[in-house]
Amino acid sequence: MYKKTLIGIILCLIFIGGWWFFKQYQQRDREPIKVGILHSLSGVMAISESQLIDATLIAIDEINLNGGLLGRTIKPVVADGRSDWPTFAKEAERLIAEEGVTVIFGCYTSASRKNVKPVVERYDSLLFYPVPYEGVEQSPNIVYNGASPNQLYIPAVKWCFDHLGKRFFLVGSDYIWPRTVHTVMKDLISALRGEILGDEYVLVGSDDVEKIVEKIVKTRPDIILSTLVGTTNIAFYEKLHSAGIKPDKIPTMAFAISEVELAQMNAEELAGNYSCWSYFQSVDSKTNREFVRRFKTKYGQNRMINDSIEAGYFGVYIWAQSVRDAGSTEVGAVRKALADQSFEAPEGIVYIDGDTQHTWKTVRIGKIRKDGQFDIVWSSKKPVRPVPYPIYRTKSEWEKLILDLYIGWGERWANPGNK
Amino acid sequence: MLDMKFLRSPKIASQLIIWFLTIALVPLSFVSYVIYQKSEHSLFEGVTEDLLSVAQRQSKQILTYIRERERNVTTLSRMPGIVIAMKEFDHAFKKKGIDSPEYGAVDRKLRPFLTYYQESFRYDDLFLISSEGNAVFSVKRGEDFGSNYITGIYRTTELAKTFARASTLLATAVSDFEYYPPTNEPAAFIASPILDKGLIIGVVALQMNNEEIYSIVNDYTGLGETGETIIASKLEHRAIFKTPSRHDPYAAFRKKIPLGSGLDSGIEKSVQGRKGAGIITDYRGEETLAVWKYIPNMRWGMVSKIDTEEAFRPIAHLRKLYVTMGLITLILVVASAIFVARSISDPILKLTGITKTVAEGDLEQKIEIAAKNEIGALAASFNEMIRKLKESIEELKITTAAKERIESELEIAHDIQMGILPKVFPPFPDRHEFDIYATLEPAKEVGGDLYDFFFLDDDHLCFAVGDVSGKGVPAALFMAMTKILIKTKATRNLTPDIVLTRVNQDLTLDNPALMFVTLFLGILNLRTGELEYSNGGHNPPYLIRRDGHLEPLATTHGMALGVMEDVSYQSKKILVQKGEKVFLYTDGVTEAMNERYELFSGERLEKELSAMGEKSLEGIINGLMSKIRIHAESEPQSDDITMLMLTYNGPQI
Repeated sequence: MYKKTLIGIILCLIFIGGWWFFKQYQQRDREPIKVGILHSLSGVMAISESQLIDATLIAIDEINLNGGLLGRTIKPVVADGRSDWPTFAKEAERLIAEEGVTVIFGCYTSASRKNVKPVVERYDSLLFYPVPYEGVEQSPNIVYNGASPNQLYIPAVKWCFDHLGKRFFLVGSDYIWPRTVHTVMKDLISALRGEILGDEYVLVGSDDVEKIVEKIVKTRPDIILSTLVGTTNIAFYEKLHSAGIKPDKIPTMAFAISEVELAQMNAEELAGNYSCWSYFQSVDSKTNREFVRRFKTKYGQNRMINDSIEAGYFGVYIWAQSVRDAGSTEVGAVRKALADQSFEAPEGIVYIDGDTQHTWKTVRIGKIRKDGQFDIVWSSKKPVRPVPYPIYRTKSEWEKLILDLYIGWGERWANPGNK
Repeated sequence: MLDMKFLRSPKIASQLIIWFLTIALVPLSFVSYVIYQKSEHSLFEGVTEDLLSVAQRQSKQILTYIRERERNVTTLSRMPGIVIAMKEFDHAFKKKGIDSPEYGAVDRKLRPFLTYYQESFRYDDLFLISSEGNAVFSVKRGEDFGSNYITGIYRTTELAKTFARASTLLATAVSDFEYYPPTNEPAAFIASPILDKGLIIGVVALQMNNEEIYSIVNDYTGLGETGETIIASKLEHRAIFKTPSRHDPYAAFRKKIPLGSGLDSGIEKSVQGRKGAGIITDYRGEETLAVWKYIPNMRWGMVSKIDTEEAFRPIAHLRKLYVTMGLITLILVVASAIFVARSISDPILKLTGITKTVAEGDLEQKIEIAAKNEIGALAASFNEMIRKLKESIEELKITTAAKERIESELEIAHDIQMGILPKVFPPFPDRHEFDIYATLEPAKEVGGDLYDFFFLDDDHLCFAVGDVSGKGVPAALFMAMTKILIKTKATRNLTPDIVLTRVNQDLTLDNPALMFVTLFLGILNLRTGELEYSNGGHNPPYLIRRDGHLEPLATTHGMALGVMEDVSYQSKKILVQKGEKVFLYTDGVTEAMNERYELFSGERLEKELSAMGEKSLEGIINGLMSKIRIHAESEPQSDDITMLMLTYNGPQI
């Protein structure tokens, strides 16, 4: 009788122990996958960047609602870059080293990306970057979901050249993206025998646009190409308007005016201007209509969706598909699975180029409507191969140009102004 | 009966079969199942892996092919020769048109270079399109030659679209693979802008060779007998096949699958830009293992697939092998189980049958079992047992016969012994001075007790009761001797003590067995009632007064006879009144025992005697005897029982 009880007790203990270990094991296996989101929640860039957090979060929510990833849920860890480039680097390091994320969805300005790049490279982590940029960069640790120069600036300038005129005036904020983009566009305008009437820059966050507008009034270009970012735009368009420069006479082709910016400006005054993006909220497809409905249901009917939000959204899906294919969140495996990933994004099918980790995207040119939306006036109709280094100069020439700017700004990626 | 039932359903055999099956099949099934699962898993993985690499190879080939063509055309667009050709053809075309001699001159000069290029790189055609959209040159000079791709009737063709894209993107552009109306054939184009000092002057477009595309797609290496690769693209709500398929050579541009119909989810997913792998039902309704992906240059969905029937044939083979192996094992196990079970249960059944026969009394059986195991040993012992049994029965028969003889002889001895005792009562019917009654109940056939009574003369009655030590034949012989001696020694004028002394002398004379006898001898004077007696170690008799009072006769201190020579005995005399009784007995009466070892006892005897009252002597003695029997219950009589009683009735006149 005693023996039997003892055996019973031992069996019970073994059973309970086994159950406990199994639970522990399951627990460990079910731990959520941590991902980092790194955008500015404060400072001058917060207006644009906070929207990207929403884009990333809605994609994560959708994936979690559909059963998660590898049987686990995705847990976002949001970090604030505070519109300050060194802070971006520090926060990226904190996310990777302390929070233990294997991927960061983040960065908006090229200056912040340039600061985060060495961090993700040092830790061999992954950054999904959702914003169209100047090109001239390629990193095994960055997935570029925004457009490359050949997917925006070249078709935009060529389209202007074919449809609007040959006399260009360039204006931009003074940091790495506009500087590089202007170089690309100027190369193209020269090649097309076009005329460059001006190439002017304003410090980031500055409203000092008066002289530039005066110059535009004086030169009367056929088209203004604008790479102005942030609040400078409000001052710039107000000044243009008050100077009597109307879009029907001298339209602007802007590369940083989207539905989101228009919502905070006087769209009626801007109607008739142009923007070049891969995505417009007005893209007429079932996939996009459903995406817009889901986004507005979640964040509010008056919320606008733009190209970067869309890229931030599909970037999460591209990453999730790669993780699923790799069967792990381990960076090496995910990177291997990234090549050839395709996804039916709201803009159309996107495809990750295995060679460059840039994205095949559709190119669209939109004309601003009075309601702050765009009429699409031209589309490439199919995804265009990303070419990070524009063909007009060699790779080393481009890299020298970028490096000279960096050194000229005192080893910064933006002009600090006269300090 | 039970035996028959047992024979009909051999339980050991079925139990053994069940155990054999359990022991052999349970672990075997378990191990086989685990191995099968593992093998199936790795086979599945292997097959999927192979298909993935085939799909990977094909998509890579397609991508590389297109990429190479793109580079090829890009390089061509940068060649000085093509710049010159573009300029000269454009010039001649604009000035005089394609039928002018000027154009003819240019054509003659430049055509060989362009044709050579087109042929050596295996393109179907080469076009030069001016930046205004004029098709200023074509090797094949199809219907669209000379038309305008911006304003003319062919402005919606893929070539026109590709021209527009190349000139806007300022980069090499690839068309979709669509029906091309001027040739009425499917066609794909690659167009690259021609730049002269950085300025775009036109576009060179090359029509890709369909056969080359087909040959890549229709390369079934690694796809077995049923595998194929399907290229399709999305056209509104349908996926349309772009190449002939293995199972449908006419599928190109004819076969369409409505999206959302669930008809071929691989094709459906791939044309919508999704990548994946899995088991799907294809457009033919066959279950296939498929890998699908998207090819962005051509907006193609590509599906590489193989029928699961073929892909998993090794798994089916494996399954078959396991089932066959299982069945063979099952048969072998059952067969060997039956064999072993039989080899164990058959001898047992045989043994059982023979045991039954033996039990019925037939000892002439022998079990023939060759087995050298425990069953064989059991059979051998069983045979030995039968042999021993037979022997014992033989012996028993002899013993029984001997016993029977002895018993019959003893019977005779008993009769003889009883015969020498006076047994007719009343013995002297004409004598009324006394009544006498006696009984002797030997414990065995013959006993050692004795009694006797006889007249010495007319007035003297001699009577005696004795008890020989031991029982059976020796005691009986000793008793007989004693009785004869008493009869011969007791004569007139001799007192009882003298009689005892003489009898003792003769008994001790030759007594090798050292036997002895207790003896009471009395001589009653029938005239006077005087009783003279001598007691040789016997229980003192009782004198029963008329009122029933018991009085043991005083002892004469004599010892048992036959023990010692030259022993002299004494006599005593009492006067027996008229109506008084004398009761003699042997210790078989007082020592009668029941199974609880309780003696009948002297006290009990006295009590019973007192209670007898006025019964006749026979009645008293039979009454006592029945009391003794009741006391002893079922316990067999251990000693001879002798009782003698006489009543003195007074002298007779």
